Amino acid sequence: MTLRKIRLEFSVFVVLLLIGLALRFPSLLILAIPLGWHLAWSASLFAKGFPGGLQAVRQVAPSRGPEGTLFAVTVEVKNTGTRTLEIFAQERIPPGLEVLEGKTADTAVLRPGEVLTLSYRARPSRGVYRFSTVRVEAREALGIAPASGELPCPGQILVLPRVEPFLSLEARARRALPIPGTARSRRGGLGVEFYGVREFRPGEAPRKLAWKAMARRDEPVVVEFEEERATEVALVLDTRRRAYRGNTALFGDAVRAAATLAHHFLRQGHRVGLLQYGHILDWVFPGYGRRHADRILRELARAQLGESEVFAELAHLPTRLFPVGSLLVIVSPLVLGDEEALGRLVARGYRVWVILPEGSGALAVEGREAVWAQRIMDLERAVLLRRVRRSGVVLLVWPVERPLSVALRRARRALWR
Amino acid sequence: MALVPLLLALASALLAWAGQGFPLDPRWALAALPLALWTGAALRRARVLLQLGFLSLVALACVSALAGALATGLGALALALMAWDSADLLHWQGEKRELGRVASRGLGRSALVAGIGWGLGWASSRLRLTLPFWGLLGLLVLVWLALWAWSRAVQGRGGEAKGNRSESGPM
Repeated sequence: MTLRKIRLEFSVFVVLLLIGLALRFPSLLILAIPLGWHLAWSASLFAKGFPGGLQAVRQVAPSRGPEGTLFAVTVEVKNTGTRTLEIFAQERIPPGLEVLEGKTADTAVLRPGEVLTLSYRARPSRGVYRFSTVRVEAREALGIAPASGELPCPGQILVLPRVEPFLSLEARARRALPIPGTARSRRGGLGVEFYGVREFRPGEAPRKLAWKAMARRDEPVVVEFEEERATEVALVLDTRRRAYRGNTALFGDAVRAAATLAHHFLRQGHRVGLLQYGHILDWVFPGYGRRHADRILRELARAQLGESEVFAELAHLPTRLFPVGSLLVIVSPLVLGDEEALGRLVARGYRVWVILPEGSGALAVEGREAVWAQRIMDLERAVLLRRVRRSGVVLLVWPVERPLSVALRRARRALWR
Repeated sequence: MALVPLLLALASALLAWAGQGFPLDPRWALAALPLALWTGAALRRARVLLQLGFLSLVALACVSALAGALATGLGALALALMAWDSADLLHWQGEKRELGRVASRGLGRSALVAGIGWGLGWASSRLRLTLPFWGLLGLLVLVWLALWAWSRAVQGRGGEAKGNRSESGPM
């Protein structure tokens, strides 16, 4: 504003001067004098620019947390200079961050060393909210032309997807990793579940002897337990916009399901990778442990819907990222045509689970054509689900209004098959 | 407090009119134009209307000065400049309770500058200078060069933030 103001005054000043000189109107030249004086004064204020000695510090507490967390943001603008300034500070709120309470803009007269504090609380939804600057307008005492600018004070709020606790879910892949875990490997070894008996080999501990079986067979046999090993789990989160038909809440539920499953499988000691399949391929290389769980949660916090011609179908799922025999857990509402790609995955030797989040309630449709359209869509969906089930995929339809744990408990038999 | 620039604009227009002895010529109805434009600027927050209003106030002061009432023309211009300065108040984004204090301080500074400007103008009107043609031309060229150099210097600044580098809080 100030520069625009100066430019206009400058133009008027030049016009008065030129007309006065050209047409020899001394009164116009005289009128140009106060204007020129005012212009010089405005320019001198402008030349000082944004006052130095202003410093902004941001504090975000906590800087990260699950959905539903109340975040407190405090921005302190301090006058570290030697002049008294009138300050108007306004927070640059990142898009999507809804402020619940507190001040995001304030004015104050700051003497040297004094601080203007903006403090507010927000309960944002899943995502990453980055703060970079705070807008500050500063006037020196008696100055009407403000100098405005942005003071850098970076910060970030990371809202992780909520992880649901659930009781038990066993990952069962067709191939186990050579490290201990909780997945049954279908081979004898160290474990807790009875697997079978076999003949005694010299050197084995006598406490392994199965006395009753020995009595029946009349030869020394030992008890064998099913070895529990870790397995490779690849979580695939569908981020194709068309799969969710614009229902962003459903996508939020899908992200929550992916986060819950990742957290659970990692706690069980499995090796978990995450692939976001949609507008881009975002691949988190498989890993173990709490740090890896944190990495996956951070990626899921950033997950967004998108559109891509290349990844419009599940057929382009990059299978070379997943070792054959691993467990693929695909969280997706699915679209017609996906069933073929899923069938091919099963045929290649993957064990495939599909968690299909289903939105609550049917759409309210009016009119004969709309009702028919709804029926056709329902029929298409029923056909799609039947084909998916027939292709050997374990399909879990999850009504999102219920906890995922309940849906998993009900489908336990199918998952353990 | 948003009335302050409107009142100053009204005072400027009235002074320009009064300088001519309140003529009833219908063309002086145009003196109401700046007020109408600034009312529009206040209601619609349109900066273009604000700038047009300022230009019309300057035009009124020029008409007054050209018609012979130089002192009232200078006075109308001084009031127009004060109104122009205080027009920032129309776009005040801070708290209302701060507005009064900011306005009073700003108006004080603006009145001082406009008063000095009026004094300089009035004092220069007392001077009797005779310039030859080439002197006038040389002065024009010099003024033009000075203005050009100054505008280049102003444009180079760009109005960017120059605050100290800040630190983020604990993450």
